[in-house]
Amino acid sequence: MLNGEITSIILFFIGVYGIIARRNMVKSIISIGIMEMAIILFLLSVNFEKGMRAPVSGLTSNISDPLPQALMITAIIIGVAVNAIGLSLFINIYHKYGTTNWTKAAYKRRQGGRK
Amino acid sequence: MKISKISKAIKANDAKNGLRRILVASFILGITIIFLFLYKHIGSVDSVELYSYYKKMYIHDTYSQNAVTAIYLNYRVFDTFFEALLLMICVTGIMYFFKEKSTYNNSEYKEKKHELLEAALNFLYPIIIVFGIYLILYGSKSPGGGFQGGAVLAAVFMSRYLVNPGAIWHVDSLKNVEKMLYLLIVSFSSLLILANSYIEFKSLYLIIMNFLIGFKVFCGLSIIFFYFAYIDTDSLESW
Amino acid sequence: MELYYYIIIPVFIATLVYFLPNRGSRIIAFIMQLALFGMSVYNFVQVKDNGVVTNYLGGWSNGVGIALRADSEASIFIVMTTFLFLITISLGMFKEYIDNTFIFLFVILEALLITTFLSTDLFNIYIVIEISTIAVSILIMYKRDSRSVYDALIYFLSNILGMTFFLFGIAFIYKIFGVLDIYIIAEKMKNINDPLEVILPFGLLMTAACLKCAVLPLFSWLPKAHGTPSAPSIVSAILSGLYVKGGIYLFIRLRSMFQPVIDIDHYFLLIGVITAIVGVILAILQKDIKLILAYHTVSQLGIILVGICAGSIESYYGALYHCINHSIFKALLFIIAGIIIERYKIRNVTEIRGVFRRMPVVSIVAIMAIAGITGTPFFNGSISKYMIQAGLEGNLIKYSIVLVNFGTILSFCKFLSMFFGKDFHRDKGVTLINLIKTLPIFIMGLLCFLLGIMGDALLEVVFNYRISIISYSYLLKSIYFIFTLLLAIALYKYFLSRILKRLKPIEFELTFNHIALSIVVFFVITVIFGLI
Repeated sequence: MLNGEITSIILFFIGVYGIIARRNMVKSIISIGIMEMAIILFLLSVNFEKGMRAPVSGLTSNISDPLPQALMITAIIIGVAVNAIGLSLFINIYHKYGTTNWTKAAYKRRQGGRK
Repeated sequence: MKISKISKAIKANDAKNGLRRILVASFILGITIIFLFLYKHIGSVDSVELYSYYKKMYIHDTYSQNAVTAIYLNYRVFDTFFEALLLMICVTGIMYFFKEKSTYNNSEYKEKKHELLEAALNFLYPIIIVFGIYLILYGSKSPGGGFQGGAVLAAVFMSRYLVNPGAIWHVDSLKNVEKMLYLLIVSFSSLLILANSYIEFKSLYLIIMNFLIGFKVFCGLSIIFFYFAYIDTDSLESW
Repeated sequence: MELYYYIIIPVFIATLVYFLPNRGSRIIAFIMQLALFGMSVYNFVQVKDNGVVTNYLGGWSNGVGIALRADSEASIFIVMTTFLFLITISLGMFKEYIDNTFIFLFVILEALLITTFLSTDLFNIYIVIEISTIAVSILIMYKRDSRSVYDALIYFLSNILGMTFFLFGIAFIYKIFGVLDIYIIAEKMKNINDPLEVILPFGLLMTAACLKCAVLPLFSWLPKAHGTPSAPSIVSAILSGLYVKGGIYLFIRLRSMFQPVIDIDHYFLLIGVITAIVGVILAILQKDIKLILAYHTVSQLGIILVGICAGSIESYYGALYHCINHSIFKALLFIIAGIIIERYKIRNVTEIRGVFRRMPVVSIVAIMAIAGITGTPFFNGSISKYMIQAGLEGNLIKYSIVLVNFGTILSFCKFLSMFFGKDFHRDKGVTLINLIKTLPIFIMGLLCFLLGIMGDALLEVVFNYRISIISYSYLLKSIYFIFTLLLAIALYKYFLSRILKRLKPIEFELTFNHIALSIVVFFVITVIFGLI
């Protein structure tokens, strides 16, 4: 009953919960990572059935769908880049305001002050 | 007196946060259930069209034994072209964000060498190199490919860093190599897009392109790693 | 000519420029830009003569590979893109902060924008938007101001979050249709009978597209990105003038893709009206020049959305024409705001006085742009706004658009007041280099006027659409405009300016948690409206 697609939908909403409920910036970035992983799982389970083989070594029958796999390599690289940029921006903010909390950072941004 | 006041405030805050989180959680739970219900009713119109095409034709079309490589290096090479660009822009951004920061020196690490780690990694890292290059070169035949091989190769610098964290690395050359490799990737993928009908070109193309992408990813990930590892150090300025 | 060249040339040149010294790179970028502009005009003529051009990259057909497709809308957007980049790069030639990293990112942004207009593959569009988000968040912090790191992070994460929804939508699309090409999906969409079957991808994709269009609950990233202190004015100009049009174009295509099954134009119409009203109210309450312009972008985007979803041909083409007009006058206004800020070193509208005396040429151009955005007769905004209004049904929506226009005029009275008053700093006499610097903005100001008086001819050439501006009603509208202008000036002078002096700057501040919540709520509401 719990196939890859349903698991990934649940995982996606766990990420959404993390983003909405948690005020920590790092946790927000991690939650986006969780959502991306969920989507990767979802796309890999599309057209997948038990017993399928990897689409390599010239096999042409009973292989899993190669297109999502190729797309997901791209999505993983995008995830790496997003995490790297997000964390480097976060490090800058932490350096400036001295907080990891969204609400406090917003308050300090409005004051225009430093920590 | 004061401390008890603060702890009271913290407790009140926690209670408020707890209520908020429960509210959000129940809201998300409701959405998840609706989402799952809608997912059950999802339609399907000839949903294996591309799948069956690729399954049948990939060897004939691209001369690749690996269908995934066939897709990202031939059918959808335009995606790969942007993907390599993404990594380069990411590196540019990180270089930009970290430029003017230097607060403490990490020469304190210089004396700290983990001997066990050093012995183990010294043994491992030729294996990492060989495995990475194998993944890149045989990406068109067996599992693997440029991105995977590049990511494995990037572990080389990481292991070197772990062995000797006090060392100062110069990544200027890596940056220039990355740009050069990207130019080559652009020109090569353009060649394929414009002249896909030349059969002799195809199998050679796969190997060269995997090689270029592999080393590009290796350079990009290594630079990102170094920027994060040496953050807040003086050596950052000298790069 | 292959459509592929419009993407490969900027990318190649940008990467090449990255190696070069700063001075040379500007000249190369400028020459390339000139060539690209020529090419895009040529492409436009080709499309005009021979119909839609489609390039299958690598020779694979039928959705197997990736295809580029230029119809008349895409090609006019590309002409617009290359033109605005030409103007901004020629303005940037004289700025010190422009180095080759900046040119690299800037030219790459152009290539990415062109790809969003040309590409027909959903996943390809996803990658391109993702890269441009990263590039933009670097560009808006380019002058390094401590306040803007927070703005950049909010911008970056909220857009990435939106694009995560987009990727999930693509996953569902692939599960349902098995292909990723927009036009093939649109064909297959005819086999779907029940909206329930495609409601999830619809909601997910539309949420992302609406985030990019900055509609009501989702717009709080836009003022942050466009008005942040560290964004160079040419970057703000490109973002407000062009980058949001990528979102609009994406919205148009997704809407027409889902049209056979799910058609909820009334919902988007409502959202557009509310966005326009809220945007203009927030713009009136601002004092920071760049933030005023950013909130006006929100309200104008609302008007464009109204035009697209109004359901009549006239408003649809009016909305497309408004896209073009808006990109010209808004880019121009941001550039002029940049010049004023550079000269006065302050950003508060109520403190800047006497711009006309100090910079007469710039002021004249600015007044032309303001005439464009407020819909002054004979300027470009008036034609497109007239067309949008002409196609609307229902009095309530019609009057709310009139109200929005009144708000725009009121808000720009605030802007106009900058030009009057005394300022004893006089610039030195007109030099040749200054003339060259003002030439690009002068061309754009002239365009505001030309697109106004030749609007009907241009519409016929570009969209094959013959507009019937009835001279009587246009005249009536002109008289009406003068009346509203006088009312707005009076209201500003005796009421608003006094309030603004006391008012603290109001920002529509949402923390990231609230932005995420609004995205999810927007998704839920879209799904609900799609089902009923």
